[in-house]
Amino acid sequence: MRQDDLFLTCQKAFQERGLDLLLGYEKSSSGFLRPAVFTAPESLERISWDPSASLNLATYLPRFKSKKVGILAPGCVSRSIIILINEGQINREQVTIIGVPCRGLIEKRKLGDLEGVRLVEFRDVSFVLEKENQRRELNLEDYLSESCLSCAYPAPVIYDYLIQGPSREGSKGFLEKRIKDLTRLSPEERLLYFKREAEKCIRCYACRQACPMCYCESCFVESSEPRWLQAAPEPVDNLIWLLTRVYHLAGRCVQCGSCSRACPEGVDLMSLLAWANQSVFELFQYQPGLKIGEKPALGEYRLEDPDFFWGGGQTEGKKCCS
Amino acid sequence: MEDFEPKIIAFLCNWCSYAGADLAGVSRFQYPPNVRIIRVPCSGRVNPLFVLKALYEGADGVLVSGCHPGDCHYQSGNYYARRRLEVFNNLLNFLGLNPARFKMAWISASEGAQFAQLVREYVQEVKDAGPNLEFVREKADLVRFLNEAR
Amino acid sequence: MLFLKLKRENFFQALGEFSEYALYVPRREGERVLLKETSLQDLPENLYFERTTGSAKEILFPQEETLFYFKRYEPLERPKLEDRKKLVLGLRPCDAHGIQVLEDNFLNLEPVDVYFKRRRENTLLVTIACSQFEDNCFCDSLGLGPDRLNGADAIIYDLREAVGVLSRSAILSEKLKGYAFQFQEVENEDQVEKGEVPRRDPEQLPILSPEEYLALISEDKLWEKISSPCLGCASCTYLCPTCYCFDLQDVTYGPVGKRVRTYDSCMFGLYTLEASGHNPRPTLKERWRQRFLHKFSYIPFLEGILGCTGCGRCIEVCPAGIDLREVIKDVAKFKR
Repeated sequence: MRQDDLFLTCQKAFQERGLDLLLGYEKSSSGFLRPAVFTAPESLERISWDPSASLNLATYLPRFKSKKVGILAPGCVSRSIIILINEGQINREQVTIIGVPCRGLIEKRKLGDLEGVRLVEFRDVSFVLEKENQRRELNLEDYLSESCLSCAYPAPVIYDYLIQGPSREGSKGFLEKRIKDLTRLSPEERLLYFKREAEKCIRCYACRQACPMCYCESCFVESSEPRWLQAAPEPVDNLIWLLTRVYHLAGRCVQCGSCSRACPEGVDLMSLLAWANQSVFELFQYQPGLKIGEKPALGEYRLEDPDFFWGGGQTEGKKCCS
Repeated sequence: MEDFEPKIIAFLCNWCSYAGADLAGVSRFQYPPNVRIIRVPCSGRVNPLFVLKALYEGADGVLVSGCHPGDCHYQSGNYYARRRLEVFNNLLNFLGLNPARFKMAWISASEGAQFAQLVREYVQEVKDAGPNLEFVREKADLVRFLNEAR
Repeated sequence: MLFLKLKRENFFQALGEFSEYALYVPRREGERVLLKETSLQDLPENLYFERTTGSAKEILFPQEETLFYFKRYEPLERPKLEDRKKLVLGLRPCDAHGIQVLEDNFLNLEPVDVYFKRRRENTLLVTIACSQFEDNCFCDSLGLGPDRLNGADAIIYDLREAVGVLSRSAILSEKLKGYAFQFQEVENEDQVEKGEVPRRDPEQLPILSPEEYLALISEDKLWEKISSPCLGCASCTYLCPTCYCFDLQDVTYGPVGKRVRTYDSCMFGLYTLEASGHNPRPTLKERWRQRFLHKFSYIPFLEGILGCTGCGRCIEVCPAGIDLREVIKDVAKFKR
């Protein structure tokens, strides 16, 4: 993808669509990208897109309900936008989607000690880091986020403008394998694994804020009557937090990995989210964020839905997938 | 372990399952007394957080029961409940929670005998699984304080 | 203040005098560096410790703290105070600056926070002058430095074969005297031998006066621009050495209960939500403005020291990549 293509297309979008602002990325002092709001076409000279981006930009959309917003969107972000439209959070007309190709996003944690590291450039299948005047070239594939290694839709599925460039090939392998490995453990071992992950959580809610689907004005953790869990980061309370957030995302999560990259403690969220989505797909053949006008999976029903209830006629006796 | 009496919280929909449980009572069907019933207007009212909260506060098992699909007093409440609770149940299983901790059922208003049968089966399942120690809130310090204050 | 010089072996021997204190040092656990209890034998000879992921406040002001227990119909139980003595070794001058801000808040205002007070009284904080700069840290850009005593009880300087200890704690001074080959009273910490403290040519960040910052409070465009990438999570506040906001929650079990204090964050929407439903800080613009002014205007005005230590943890952890150094520059540029 060419940076000047990006710049020119975004400028065009600003003018042709009469945008109030454009959500994109700019380079930080260390060379890694960070989200930025561009309010004037002149500021677009800073706009950039490469695999060092981290947040799903659609998370900023519900803030701009009454504005005309442009947004850079690889596959996952475009699907998030479709879901936001389907759930009535934004209108299709007010958002201008500038589709960008996606080679995957880097998981900064995999880079280890980032002290003094500067990102120099991205090449075809590698990228170059500099530290203390020494340069290292690394293989891009080895440092991608788990979500990207299992991404089935890297290229944008909906767009108003499209920037040309190569995208990753869609695949599902990585998280599917992680789920299979986890299901091979005994339930007690699995619970121990997730409890240990939950103990890392400090309840900063960065995951919730980084997620475009978590747009509730009042989150269930803030409910005081009834109070579902304590504010203190106790192990079981943290587990309730993680489990419930994942459940609220079942059939709505596009597995962009924004939450996982935002988490300062490295909690394993992707396994639970991938399982929830897999569950919804296996039960109801539903994949979120692919079609405008679809209702969320848990917001509708079919008479022939699989039935695992005691006393149910159809599939009685069968235990749910485990 | 032999004298472990599980505490089971049951969310029963008003129009079918609660009535069915009532019928079991007046028909004098015998079933163990371990179930504490909470009446909800419809199984669709059940928020999976109810299940988590019940376990968190010390329940050994949670039962949710509603009208059979097609018979919901509010037309479609139980269809939504079916989707939601099945996804939720899957998630609990993946988490590693003992499957005995959560049970979903359809009991109609005329199925008094079936309700008794369900409770008999489920109580035994939970007895075999043992007390809920893995998903309950930490309250040892409060218990100690309560006992020493006496 | 007493400045002592000890041979390295003697310093470790001196630490043996503090057997009634539990020894805490920064230790790496997977991705994080936490303060962990350790034994004297496990201390590294070069006295180098990684900087903790969270700040030092966690040892005096933990994320979860039970304040007291209560029983229905009975008089309140006296507060549970932490009596355990701790010697915390290996923190940095920026952590100690944060402690100063916390002390001003918890100890110098009425009512005094008895929990913090008891912990502070029972804790000896011994920092170590930085031997290198951390990524993103900028204390020297704020006029602070990697060799300051700040709010610590003592700071250790690496003098090659010896260690220099600048102490303002009577307990530490007394016990260390016996092992030192040289000691003297000093008035000013700049008079002492500090060894090789890292120096660089830092970009001097333009820090305005509290009044000048306050005058910018109604500049909506400025705060909108700064806060636009902010997600409103609490990552920066939880890790910040000077953040001290907390929430109180009662946890009950039948007729008994306890009051628990946990970290709260001004970045949460719920923080200023009033019972009427009105929220005086409805969007992140207001909340970011408050956070910035608190650190750079209100604390300096009330306490005479900067509310930011320059540790850079917020820059490291922010999922939206907000860089406080750039914010400081943007704000100063906006000043008329």
